[in-house]
Amino acid sequence: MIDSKIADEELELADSLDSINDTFYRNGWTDGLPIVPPVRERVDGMVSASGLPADHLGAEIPPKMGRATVEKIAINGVMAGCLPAYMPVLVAAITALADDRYDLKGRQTTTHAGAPLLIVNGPIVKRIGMNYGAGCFGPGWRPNATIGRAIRLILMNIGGAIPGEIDSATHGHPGKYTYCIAENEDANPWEPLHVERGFPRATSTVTVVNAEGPHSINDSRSKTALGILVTCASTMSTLGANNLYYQGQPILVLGPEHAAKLARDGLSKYDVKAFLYEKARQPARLVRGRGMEVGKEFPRWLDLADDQEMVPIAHRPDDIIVIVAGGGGAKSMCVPTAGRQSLSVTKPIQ
Amino acid sequence: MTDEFVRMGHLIAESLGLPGLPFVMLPHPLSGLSEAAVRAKAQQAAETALRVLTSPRESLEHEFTNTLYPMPTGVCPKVLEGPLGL
Repeated sequence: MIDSKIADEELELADSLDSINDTFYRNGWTDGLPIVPPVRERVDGMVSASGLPADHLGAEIPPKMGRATVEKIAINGVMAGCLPAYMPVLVAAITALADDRYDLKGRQTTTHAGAPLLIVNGPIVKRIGMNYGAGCFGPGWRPNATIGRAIRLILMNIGGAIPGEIDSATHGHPGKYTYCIAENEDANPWEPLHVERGFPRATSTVTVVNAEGPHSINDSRSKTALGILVTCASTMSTLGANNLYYQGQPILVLGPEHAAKLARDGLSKYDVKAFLYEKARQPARLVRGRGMEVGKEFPRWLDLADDQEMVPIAHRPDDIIVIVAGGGGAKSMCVPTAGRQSLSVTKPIQ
Repeated sequence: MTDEFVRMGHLIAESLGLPGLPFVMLPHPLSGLSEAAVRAKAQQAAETALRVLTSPRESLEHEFTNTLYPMPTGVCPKVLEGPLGL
């Protein structure tokens, strides 16, 4: 087994990509994929693009409480394959992850299959060429692929989330390699996520949410908004997902075609959330005695002893995150989240 | 903690400057057990728990700093040597 240790000094390694990658893998500094060697010039370029001093502290990353300085963020960014222009997103995302509301210490060590999903909004999305359209959760776009990867490397290398030893996820999920999308603001008939959260449309933001893998919601046949939402509600309220036990902020990623149909039938974004809050439920008789113990955040106004009680996936409609992303096709995605003990955090990208 | 997770606890304690933090190990798992089974597991750990709660700090620090905690059974080894080559 690899004894993972974090380098705090510059290393002199043979000028060979193979042997550099071998050294990094042996030391447990990679996600298993080959890395781009973080040589001084590349790291300096990343630091410079941040507009911040190299020793500026972005955050301390639990559980090791490693210091994520701008330079260390840059090193992991280079390793992941990031371009300097992505650096402001990395710094903002790390600041968001270290916010107490996200509960990073818990997320770094849990058995739950959660990974930080990054949702980017604002002008930076097109400036750096992010994928907010077809296949946005998949491969092919460098910012999506490498920004999420850099976040994972930072959580491992600076935070100490050694897979299997500190990161105790029973399974984990592929989003632990990278999990980074942008919102399709052009196809959003309502206000985009960052505007909903009080930021000007011209401000770029990153939102972090601890999330399970995305799950397809296939509904090509429903003629009405409510028909589509019945399908969404059913997919979002499956037994076994944390949101029935800990509620929190489950995510609905509406495909543009579904979003357009909902808006055409006159629904606001809040209407969508209110529907899901009311209908994405399971009866108490199925929820009780499952999951883990009822979390400390479980709604006190619910009577789990009452067989007729219906248990929601969130405390209130506005806790449900609704965004628009993706390309053609009558499909949406639901993304279960950790629960109310870990909340989403949005930070501006400087 | 159960033996499946105690190594994690120890590594976190170590990184926070508490390498000798005592851990009382219970056999994994604890979830889904009857009350009787939980009591039986607790009984197994009671003696160590009592000793940890009543022993001088210095001797505990020495003992638990040098305790070897098992790797979780679910962790696969990485192949670093052998015929795979670069």
